[in-house]
Amino acid sequence: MQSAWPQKEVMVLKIKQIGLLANFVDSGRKTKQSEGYSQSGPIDSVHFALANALLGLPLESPALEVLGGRFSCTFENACLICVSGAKAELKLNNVIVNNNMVLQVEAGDELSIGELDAGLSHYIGFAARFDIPLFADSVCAVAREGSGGLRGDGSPLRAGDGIGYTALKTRYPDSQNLKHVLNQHNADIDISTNLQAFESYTLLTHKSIRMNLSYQASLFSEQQLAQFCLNTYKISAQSDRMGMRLKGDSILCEKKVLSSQAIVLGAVQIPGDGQAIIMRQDRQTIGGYPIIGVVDVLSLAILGQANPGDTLQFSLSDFEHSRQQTLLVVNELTQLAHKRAKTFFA
Amino acid sequence: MNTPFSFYSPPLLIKLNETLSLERVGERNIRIIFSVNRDSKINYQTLLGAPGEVSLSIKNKLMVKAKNLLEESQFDWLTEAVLAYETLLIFFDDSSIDYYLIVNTLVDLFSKHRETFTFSNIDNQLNAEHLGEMTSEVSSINKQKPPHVIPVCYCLEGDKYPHDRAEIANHSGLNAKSISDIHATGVYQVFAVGFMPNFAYLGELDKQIHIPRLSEPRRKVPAGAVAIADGQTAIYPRVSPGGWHIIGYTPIDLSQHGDIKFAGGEQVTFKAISEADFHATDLHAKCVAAERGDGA
Repeated sequence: MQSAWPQKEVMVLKIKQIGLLANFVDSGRKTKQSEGYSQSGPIDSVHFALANALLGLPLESPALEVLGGRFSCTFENACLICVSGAKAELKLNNVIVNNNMVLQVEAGDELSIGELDAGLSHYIGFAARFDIPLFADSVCAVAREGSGGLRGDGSPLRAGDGIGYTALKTRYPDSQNLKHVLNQHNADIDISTNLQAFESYTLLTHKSIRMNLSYQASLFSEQQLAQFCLNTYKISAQSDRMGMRLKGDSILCEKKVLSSQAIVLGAVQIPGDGQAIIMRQDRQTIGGYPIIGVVDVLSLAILGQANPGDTLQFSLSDFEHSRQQTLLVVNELTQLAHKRAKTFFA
Repeated sequence: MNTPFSFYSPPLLIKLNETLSLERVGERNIRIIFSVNRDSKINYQTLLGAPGEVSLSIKNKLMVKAKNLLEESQFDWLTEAVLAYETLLIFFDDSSIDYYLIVNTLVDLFSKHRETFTFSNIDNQLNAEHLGEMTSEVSSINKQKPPHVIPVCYCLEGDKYPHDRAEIANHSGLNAKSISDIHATGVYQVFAVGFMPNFAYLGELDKQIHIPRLSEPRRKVPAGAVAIADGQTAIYPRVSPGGWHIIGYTPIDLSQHGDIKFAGGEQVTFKAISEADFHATDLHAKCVAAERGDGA
């Protein structure tokens, strides 16, 4: 018998398998750091935005961050999705597909990410609205704090979780037409040369990272600063979304204790043992270790694909240059998103 | 040694007024720091906490004023300002204004309000507070809310409530009663909120009960633990590892579900309560939590 009520349109994304960690992310909490809550957000902000841009969505729309590959999920409803980021075998119903392709999934389809070949983080963008409670206007979860996320207690996604979603309607009611449009876009993915360069650079195992001297840089001698940029550092296995610990020649600061200060994204802390820590999205809001400088936004995104054992070297930049480089990429992503939004949804 | 080419040019400090400067610390971050000209005429005699150094409390008060002034100005580019001890970190949004225009705006604003940030102004305010009165024309930039009063039981025992009162007594040479009296007498300033949500760094403790951190941090400090380290005291809002010496426990909920949210610059006092009062309040808090559906 036909129900008098319209059919429920909210369907469920079901998580089947999780490698290291998976969580929905957006641009993070904006106004909670003065209360002591982490900023949070995607560790590779460029690939996160790229997955959204390729779908024609606002760059900061919620997307699924999958760390460490070995992930799979099934869909209860048709939806457009796009996967960007690390290199791994990517399959839709056992058919191999590629990063940056816009995929039309149907009810019952399964998406799977295999073992990682290069990089660390995948971003799955969805042309859909998710039923995830917001904490400080953000879907992000921080387990250490017990705040945000699907359950509201900061716990990460688990196998078996179901997340309700409502797919956005495309301008093609006929799925054959949509398929044709998607094939066109997927055959020749129109991302800028600048973004293509970023793509291949993130997958290298040795990276050059731009840092701006700031905070307590003047507590270090010129020789120490020069040495810091000449050294090669190895990424420690004790790295997480809070911070990336580096191993290499120590750089010691005479002044070991400061009044705690608020820490920006990308700040490079030098603790007592002289082994640098790059502060990331889930960092604590304040800390008392001297900070030598700040890794810029694009370099930090590049590090979002770095694995323990990878190496890096710092080069000095200035904030103005860093900002211009970031804005260049943001503008290209914004243009891509606008162009695709017209094609898919207008 | 003079080098013909300097590898490093120090970060640029931009003067805001007699006591404050700003520096860029991120692509979309500026921070305000305390800096005085050597030639500025300052009444050092009343203001210096230690010889040659302006006290932390005064620097913190300056930053609170700066934060209030910023928030009162309601700039649409201001995302958030995070206060910690003697610095104020600004997160800005440059989608409709660039860094240089923001710097200009801040320089104008702070030079227009330069009087608010002079030492004599703070000195007067401190004196007024000391006398228990506020000057009649206290602007909202100088506003000071009444202190939060946190009940603390300084005598709980048992596995659920580990404490370090014996160590504090050993270190200070004072008995338990004197220690809790000293702790409960102080009026503390919130120097910063961080480490975990709603964890307020409160200072400054009476020198008699200063004690360094535990040599080996506890893996699990219970929620509600009131602890001390060096010149500071704090309350753990939720279970966490921690290296401070535990002096007592509060029965009230300071987690994200509780009503009290600490903010930099606010004042906090402690009120000693009995074990019976602790359990009565604790039970009440648990009932409220259960009603809300958090479980007990």
